[in-house]
Amino acid sequence: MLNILVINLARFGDIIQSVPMIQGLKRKYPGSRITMLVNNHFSHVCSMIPDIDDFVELDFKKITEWLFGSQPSIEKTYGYLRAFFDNLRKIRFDMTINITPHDIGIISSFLAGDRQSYREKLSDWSLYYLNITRYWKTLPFNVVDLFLKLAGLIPEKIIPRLQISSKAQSFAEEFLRQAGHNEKDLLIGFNTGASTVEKQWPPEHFIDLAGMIRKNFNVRVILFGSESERELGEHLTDKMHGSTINAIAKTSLMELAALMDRTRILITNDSGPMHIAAACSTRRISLHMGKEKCASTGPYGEGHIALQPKLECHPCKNPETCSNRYCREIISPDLVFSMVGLLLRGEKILDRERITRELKKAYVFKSVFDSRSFLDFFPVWKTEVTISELCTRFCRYMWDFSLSGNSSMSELERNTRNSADDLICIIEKYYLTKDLFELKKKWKKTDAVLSELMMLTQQCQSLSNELKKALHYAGNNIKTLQKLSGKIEMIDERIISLGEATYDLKPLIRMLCFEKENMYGNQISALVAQTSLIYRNFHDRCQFLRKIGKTFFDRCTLRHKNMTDKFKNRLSAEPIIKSTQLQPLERLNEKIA
Amino acid sequence: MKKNGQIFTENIQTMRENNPELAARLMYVLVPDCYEVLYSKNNKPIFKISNITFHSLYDPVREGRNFVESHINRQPLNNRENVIVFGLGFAYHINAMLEKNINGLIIEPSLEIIRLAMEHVDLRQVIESMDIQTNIKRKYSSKIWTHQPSAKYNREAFQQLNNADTVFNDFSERSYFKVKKSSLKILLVSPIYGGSLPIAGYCCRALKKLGHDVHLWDASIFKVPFEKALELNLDPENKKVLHDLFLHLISEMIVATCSDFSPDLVIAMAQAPLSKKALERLRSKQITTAFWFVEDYQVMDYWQEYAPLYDLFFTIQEDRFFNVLSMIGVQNVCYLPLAADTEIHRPLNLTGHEKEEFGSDISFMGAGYYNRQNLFMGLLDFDFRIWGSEWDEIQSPLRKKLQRNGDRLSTEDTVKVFNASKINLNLHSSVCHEGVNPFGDFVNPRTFEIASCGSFQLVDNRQLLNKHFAINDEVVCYSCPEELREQIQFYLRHSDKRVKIAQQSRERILKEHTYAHRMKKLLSFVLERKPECFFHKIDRMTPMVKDINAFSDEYPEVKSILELAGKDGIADLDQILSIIKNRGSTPQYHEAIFILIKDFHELVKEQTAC
Repeated sequence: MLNILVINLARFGDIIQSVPMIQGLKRKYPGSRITMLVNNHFSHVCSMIPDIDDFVELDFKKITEWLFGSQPSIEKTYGYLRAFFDNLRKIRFDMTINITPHDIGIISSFLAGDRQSYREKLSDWSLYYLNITRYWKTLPFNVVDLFLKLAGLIPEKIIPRLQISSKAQSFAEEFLRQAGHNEKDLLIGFNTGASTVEKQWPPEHFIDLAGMIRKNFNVRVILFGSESERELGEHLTDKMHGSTINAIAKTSLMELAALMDRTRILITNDSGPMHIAAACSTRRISLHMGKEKCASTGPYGEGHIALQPKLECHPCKNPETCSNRYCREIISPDLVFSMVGLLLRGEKILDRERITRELKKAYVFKSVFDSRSFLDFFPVWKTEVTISELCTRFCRYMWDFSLSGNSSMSELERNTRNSADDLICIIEKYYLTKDLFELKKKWKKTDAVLSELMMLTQQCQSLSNELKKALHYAGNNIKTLQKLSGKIEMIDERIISLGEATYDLKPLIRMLCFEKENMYGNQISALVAQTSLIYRNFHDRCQFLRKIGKTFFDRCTLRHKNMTDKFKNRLSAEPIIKSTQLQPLERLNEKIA
Repeated sequence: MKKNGQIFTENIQTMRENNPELAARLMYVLVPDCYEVLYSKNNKPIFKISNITFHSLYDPVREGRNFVESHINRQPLNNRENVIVFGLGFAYHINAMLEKNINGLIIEPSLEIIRLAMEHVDLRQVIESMDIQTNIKRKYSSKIWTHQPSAKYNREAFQQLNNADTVFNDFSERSYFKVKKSSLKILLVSPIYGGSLPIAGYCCRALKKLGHDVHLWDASIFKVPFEKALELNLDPENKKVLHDLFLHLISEMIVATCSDFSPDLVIAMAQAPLSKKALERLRSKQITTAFWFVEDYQVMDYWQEYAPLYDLFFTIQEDRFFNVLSMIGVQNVCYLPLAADTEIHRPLNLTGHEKEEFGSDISFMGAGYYNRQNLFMGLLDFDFRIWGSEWDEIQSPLRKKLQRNGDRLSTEDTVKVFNASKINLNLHSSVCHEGVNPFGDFVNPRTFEIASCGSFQLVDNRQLLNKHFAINDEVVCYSCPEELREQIQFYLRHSDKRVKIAQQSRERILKEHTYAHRMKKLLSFVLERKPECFFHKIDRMTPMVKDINAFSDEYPEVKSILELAGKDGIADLDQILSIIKNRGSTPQYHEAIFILIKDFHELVKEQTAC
């Protein structure tokens, strides 16, 4: 029996988002035993995950008290952690997967007995994950897919499964019955809270939205939330009048899931309960404000709607200090209401003019699994593709290729070709490319930077080789070694300044820096070998990006030249909503069934 | 056998020397009748309250020894390990601990029980060897030995001891190490004018000498505009509005300085221009505030409004003032007498010219209060010089003795007067007494300053004077005009005695009464009552291993790192991490635990910042 430890010391939402990974592990390793290491504040979530065999709690509360008490002390913390990990090691795990987005996870997995988990043995995906946690904004994947990759799994459209007890089901039935809810009536859920204020859509918007929904559809609104949102719930119930059901702070987590399962649509901020709904048949309309963006934390599964503000500053870099509420207010209740109409009836509720006006302020995406089963978010109404959007998509292919251990030139050629074709299909289907020439011009600039980066990397590589030789022949001739490493350092500086100056290439440069920061060992020869490998990977990544860019634009141009009038129309058409793109819920449910 | 009164006197004297605050509080404790004192079969005093007998009715001494034995058997102690004892009772169990050289801290929440014990049993050794505390503000990390009858009687306090959610080892010198060595950021607010203005400067110098980062907020720069504003010919109501506005402006500036300077502690001197609103704002910013009220509470009454707004209140009077403060809910009160700055008030080698200018047989330096004018009228036949202001309006023969037309003297000249006079007269001011105030308690700064100059003084009798000086050996007192005249004549005749007494008084000052001593006492009271003021600093520091040896004994694997990282028996997390990091290779198991602790620390700090 394979003993697997999953280290997930993050928050509630992250635990729910790891469910597809746990299910994937169970599928890949039938009969395995999965233990999850969790922050004790969120351990109760584990009882809802049927595929977790056991969970171990790390007492964050105690540790915080010891380290931040009236007199910070190491002794007690050390004693506790030592005893904790001594016990954990006794289980002897065959595999440890860390999905904690900070260094605590990586050290914990080392302490839990996984010698391979420390820096030198980290997989490429793990290293990428640790780096991207610092620059979350640049993550081009959904977190669920990233977790799957960290566990060495291939994304395969797994619908997360949560355990909802019959007791919780009965509670939900009874709760709704007492609220005077008729089973035939539709329920629309509002999850109005979030862990921080900057992630919360204004309560007034929720109130307006409730009014519109009640006026146009024969549905009831039910409010979800935790104890800390009790006051907000009372305020909303008071203001929404009518038959709003307030379930805020009245349910356990499992009862919340049972109630959510009975709602047709959930309108939600980006928060933990949004992820619970992934296990239900509920369609979600999620609102991603502040530092959140749907591409990384949007609702997992197909057919959900995600809205986010169309602002330069979004996703927010400084949510803690930004006092501007604009990004929360800019998504109008009208637009969200329109989305409710689309999901319920498959029809536009707002007229074209109004939609066009609203779309200047907000992005509206729908979730779709791409050709490789990664979750992706595409615009509901076709929008002009930007160079940044393209670069992010190029990077998505590039990281998947590079971090999955592919290195041969032929593989790279084939992968870039396929990726470019895939991307063309996506762009044609979901985006407008009115000014291909302008896009190409912009790409050429990025391409020129990539070309220079490749040249500089080659220089670094040859200097690394010289360094290797110098070590072999000159032994400890410090002057020679210093001269060569000095040269590498100078080129490095140039690489960093070039990359940092090109916004779309920042993630690439940061990964390079991170890899160099995390070189291990004292032996110069080992360090030189690692440096050489890091440069080679960087070179390959640049090359991938150049190739996919070239192929994409070449093929686009070719298609543009050959395109029929009909195709031209498709590329430059007015925004349209096709009933097939977003079907009424009943039909979608039929499909899923 | 000693009488109860005698036992108490000896106990309280020892308590004053070891724990003056507690001694002062105990002076006013009345033991209610419900405490019943009994005698055991072997004639030892014991007591009973609420049907709880606190000691054995047969042999409380043996019971005390059994208490120690049973605790040691249950929880063996390391070498010289301190323990916390909950409950003092009549200290039979404590004496048994002392027999075995076990020291520590006694927590006895009931002042009545302490007082009762001090009246009936000899506690001198206990007081000298162990610290007695009445309040529990934190969880103690040492072993706790419980005197069961005390725990039963004071159940609530006992539960508090077990439930306190922070960790602090109160009496361990080592655990204080970092606190005592680290410097506090202190904002010292002076008054706009008045007697406490120079004291603010002395305190500032003393605090700086003690190694603290002190910012003196000198409000005296507003003296001219403030006086100008109040000089305007306005009706009292308008004058008050103007006064309040002025105070508000200065207060706002002080609060703004606090935002900028982020002090750990604000010390305001008497008359400091801090409004109530400003104090409330400082409290909301969680800045600890202390007020040193260096005035007579019976003459000045503004303390009634302000004392409750300060976290800590320091006085130059005790007894009745403590009671009155307690009645208005002011709890953290500490007696802090005045002192001298020995670098300013010092012996001088005066030139012949200076001796001539400032010297006389007897002199007085100070303002012309009513009692002074009255008493000094009887000294006209002496070579007597009066220095200071507010004498000039008197149409009396004393005017002939007044120097420099009643101008204020600079501090330098004042020191010269003290040095040049054979006898310095010191009479505490009063606006209603004919001479010496028979109820006068506090000791004025002049007493300390003359002594600090190594000069001789005759000072009026004060209730608190013998706490600070040995009467007749260090200072000589008088209670009435006749006695004063006799003393003057005697000491003018015996210059050798004068010189000896003056020298001894200066030695006492250097030993006990400098502003550095006072500031140390002030800060230790802050540490006792508002420890968070110090801990706030520690919070910003990285966590520490406070006893490398004890930690290494428990976890031998950490010894080598801690030896490299530590200094003086302690090591902080950053030092430990830097040792691990410098090793470069993959960390070992125990090293990774330290890395994890550091990561936790960083993560929580980040989240808190958010």
